[in-house]
Amino acid sequence: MLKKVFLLILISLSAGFFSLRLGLNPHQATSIVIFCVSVLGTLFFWSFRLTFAFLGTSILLITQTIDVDNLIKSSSLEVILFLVGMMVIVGFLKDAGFFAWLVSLILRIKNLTAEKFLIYISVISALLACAVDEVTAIIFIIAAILEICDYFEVNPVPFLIISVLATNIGSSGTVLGNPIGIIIATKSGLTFEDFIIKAFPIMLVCLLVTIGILNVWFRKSLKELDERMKEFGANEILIKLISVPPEKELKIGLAIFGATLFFISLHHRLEILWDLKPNTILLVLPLISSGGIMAWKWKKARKFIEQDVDWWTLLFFLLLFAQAGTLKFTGATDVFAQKISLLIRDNTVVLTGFVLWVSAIGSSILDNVVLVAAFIPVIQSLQELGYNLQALWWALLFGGCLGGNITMIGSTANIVALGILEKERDVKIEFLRWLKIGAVVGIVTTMIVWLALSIFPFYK
Amino acid sequence: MLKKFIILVVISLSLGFLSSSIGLSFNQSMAIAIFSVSVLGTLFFWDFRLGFVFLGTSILLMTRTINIENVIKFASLDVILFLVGMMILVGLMKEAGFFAWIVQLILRIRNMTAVKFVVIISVISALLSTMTSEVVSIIFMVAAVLEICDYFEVDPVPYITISILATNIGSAATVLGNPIGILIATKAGLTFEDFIIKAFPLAMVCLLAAIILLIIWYRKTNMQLDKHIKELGANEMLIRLISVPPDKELKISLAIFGATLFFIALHHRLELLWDLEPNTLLLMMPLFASGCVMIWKWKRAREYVEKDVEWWTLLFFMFLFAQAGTLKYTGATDVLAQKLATLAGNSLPVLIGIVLWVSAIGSSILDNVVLVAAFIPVIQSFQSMNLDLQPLWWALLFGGCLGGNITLVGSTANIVALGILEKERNIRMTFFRWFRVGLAVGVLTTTIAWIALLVFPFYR
Repeated sequence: MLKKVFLLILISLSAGFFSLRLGLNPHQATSIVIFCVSVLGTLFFWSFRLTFAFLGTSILLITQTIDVDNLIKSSSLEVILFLVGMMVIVGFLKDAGFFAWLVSLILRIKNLTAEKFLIYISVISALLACAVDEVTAIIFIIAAILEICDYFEVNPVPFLIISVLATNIGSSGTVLGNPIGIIIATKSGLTFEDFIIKAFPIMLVCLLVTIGILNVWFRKSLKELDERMKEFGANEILIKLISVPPEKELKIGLAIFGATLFFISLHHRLEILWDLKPNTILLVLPLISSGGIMAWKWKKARKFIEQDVDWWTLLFFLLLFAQAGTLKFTGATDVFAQKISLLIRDNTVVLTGFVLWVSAIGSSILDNVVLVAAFIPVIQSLQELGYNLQALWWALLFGGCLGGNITMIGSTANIVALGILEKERDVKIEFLRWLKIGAVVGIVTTMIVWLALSIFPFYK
Repeated sequence: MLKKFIILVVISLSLGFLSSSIGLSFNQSMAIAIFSVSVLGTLFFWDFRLGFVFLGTSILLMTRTINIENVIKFASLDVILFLVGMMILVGLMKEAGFFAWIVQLILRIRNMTAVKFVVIISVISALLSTMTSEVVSIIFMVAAVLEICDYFEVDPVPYITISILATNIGSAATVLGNPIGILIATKAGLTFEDFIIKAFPLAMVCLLAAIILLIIWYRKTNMQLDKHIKELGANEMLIRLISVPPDKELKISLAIFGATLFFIALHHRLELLWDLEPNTLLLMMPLFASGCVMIWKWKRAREYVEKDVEWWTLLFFMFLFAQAGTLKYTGATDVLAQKLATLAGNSLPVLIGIVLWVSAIGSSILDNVVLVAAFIPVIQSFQSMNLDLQPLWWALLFGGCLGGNITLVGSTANIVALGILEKERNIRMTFFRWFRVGLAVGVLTTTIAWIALLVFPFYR
C-alpha cells in the first residue's frame, strides 16, 4: 500500500520534472502531474479513484492551472447527461423484463449444437453491447450461459470468456456500446451514421475472425458440450420449462427503445434537416426518451435515477474529463502534438498505427475511458496542426475497445463477468489463462483494424 | 390529474402567446413557455418534475432556442459540485454521530423551563441550518423535540413548528444554509464574508423577533410545559439516562468540518492573497474536504456518493438552472427587467420591495430554488440599467428563505418535518393551523428585512 503510494508520487513527480526539462511551463507541468496521479490512481487504487479526482481537481484550481469556467467547459457535461439518459433507459428495460426475455430466447433455441451455441452467444453479446452497453449486456448474457452450462453439466468458463470477448469487440460497433464511443463522437464530430458505415463493418469482421479463433481454441470444450447435448437430447426440456411471452409493458418498452435507437441512427440527417448543430439530436434523444419514461413510470422515476445511474463512475468521468481538458487548456498537449508531428513528419500511417497500438496496450491495463480522455486533447492538438485525420479517431476507438480483451482487468465487462462467476460458481480464472486467449484475440483483431485503417482510404 | 395537466398547458401556452404578443421574439416566448411548464410542473406534479425538465430542456434544444454549449454553461455545474461536496461532508457528520451528539446536548440542558426550551431549540435550529443545510438540521431537531415532548407529555406540534420556522430563518444567514445561498453568491459575486457581515446579523434580528412572537403565540402551551416540568422535576432523569461523550471519530469529523467552515469563511481573503478568481476557493473547499473524507473513509466513500448525495434533486437543479439561463440567453429577462424597472419608476427602493415580497410570496408556494433561478437572470439584466444590484440580491435571498415559512409547503424543511411528524406520531398538521402562525412570522420577518434593506445604506 505505502509502496504503491510512494511509486505513484514518484512517477507523477518525475513526469512533471521531465516535462519542465522539456521546456513546458509550470502550469503545463502541473496539469501533467495531476493527470498522472489520476491515471495511476485508477491503476493502483481503484476504490480511491474518485477521491484522487476530487483532490487533483482542487489542486488544479488552487494553483490557477485552470479556472472554474474552463473547468466546467471541459467537463463534457453533455456526455455525462447522455450517459445518464441511457442508463435510465436501460434501467427501465431491465425493469420491464427485456433482458430476462432475451435470456429466455437464447435458452429456447431449437436444435442446439455446441458450435451454434458459440455463434449465438458471440453474436448476441456483440449486438447487445452495440445497442445498450457492454456492462449491461454481459450481465444478462452470463445469466443465460450459466443456465445452459448447468443444464448440460459442462464447465461454463470457456463460454463465459467467449461472450466477454465478443462483448468488448461489439462495444466498438456503435456510439452507444461504450462510453468512449460517445466521447469520441462528440469530440470528433463523427455521427452515428459514420459509426454504422465505418466502425460497424470492421467490428463484424473482427467478430467473425474471433469466432473462428475461438472455435478452434475451445474445440475440446465444444466437443464435450456436443456429447452432452446428444445424451440429454438437446435442450427440449428447457424449451418446455421456460417460456416468457413478452407482456404489454415489455412491448411498450421495446417500442420506446426501438424508437430511440431509430432516431439516434438518423440523428445526422435530422440535424441537417432542421439545421441544428452537429450531434444535438444525438445528445438530446436519450433525455427525451428517459424524460418520457420518467413521466410514464413516475413512481419508479426516482429509483431509475438513484439506482440505475452509476453516479460514482459518472462523477469520476466528469472530473477526469475536466482534468484531461486542463491538459489541452494549458497547452501541454499542443507541445506533445508538436513533438509527435516532428517525429513522424507526414507519415500518417505510422501515426495511426502508433495511436492504435498504444491505446490497445494501454487499455489492457487502464480503464479505456481514462486512456481515451488522455488521448483526445492530443489528437485535437494534432488536428490544429493541420493533420485532418479521421483515421486517428477510429484508431483510438478500436484500440480502446479491443485492447480491453487482452487482460482480465482490461475492461469493466471483464471485471463484472469474472466477479459474477466468482460469486455464483466460486470459480476463479487465473491471470495467465485469460492472457493466452485474450492476447491472441486482442492482437489479431487489432491487426485487422490496423490493416483496414492503413489500406482503405475510406477511413482517412 | 388531467385537469391539472390541462391547466398547466393552458397557462404555459398563454404565457408564451402573451409574451409574443407584447413583442418578444419566438425564442424568448419559447423560453418563457418552457420555463413556466417547469415551474408549474413542480407545483402540480412534484413527482414528475425531473421528467418535465428533461423534456423541456430537450424541446429548448430542438427548437434551437439555445445550444448545448450554453446549456452546459448555464447548468451551474460549479454550484452542483459544491452541493455534492457539502452533502458528502454532511453524510460523514451524520455517520460520525454529530447530530445525535447535538440532540443529546439539548436533552441534557439543566434547569429547563418552557421559555428556555423555545429559545434553545430556535437558536440551535437556526445555527445548525446556517452551517449544514436546512433539511439535515430539521431532521435532527425534530428528533430532539419529539424526545423531550414525549418525556414531559406535552403536544409536540408547537415546538416542531417553532423549530421549523427558526430553521428557515437561519438558512438565510450564510452561503451554506440553503442552495439559494450558494446560487446567489456565485451569480452575484458575493463572498462568505459578505454573508456573515450583512445577512447573518439581519437573520439574527429576524430570529429574535420570531422567538418573541412565538413565545407570545404559544404562551398557553408553554405554561402547560412549565407545569409538567415542575411536576416531573425537570429533566434530571433524562440527563442521567443520556450521556453520549464524543468519541474519537466524531472529534476528527468535527475537526474536518470545522476546518472546512474556517477556510470557507476566509475564502475571500485567501483568494485575494493567492490572486485567485472570486469564489474559486469557496466552490473548491467542499470538494477538497470531501476528497479527504473519502480517503479517510474509503470503504464508505461509494456509499457517501451514492446515498448521501441527493442526485435526483441535483439533476433537477441542473436542468432548471439551464432553463433559467435560457431566459437570460434569449434576452427574455432583459425585456422583463425593463418592464419591471419601468413599473417601479426606476426607483431602487420600490424594486427592492417588489423583489423581496414577490420572492417571499412566491417561495411560499414554490420551491425557493425554482423561484430564485427565475429571478437571477432578471436581476442580472438590471445591471445594464445602472442599478445597484446588491440590495436586490439580499432581497432575493431573504425573500426566498423567509417566504418558506408562510405555508406548510413553502420549503423542503417544512415538508420533511411534517412528514416525520405524521409518520412518527400520526399527527397531521392542517393547512390553516400552520398558515396562521407561519403568516405572522413570515410577514413580520420579511418586514424587518424590508426595513433593514431600505433604511441602512450598508446594504447598498
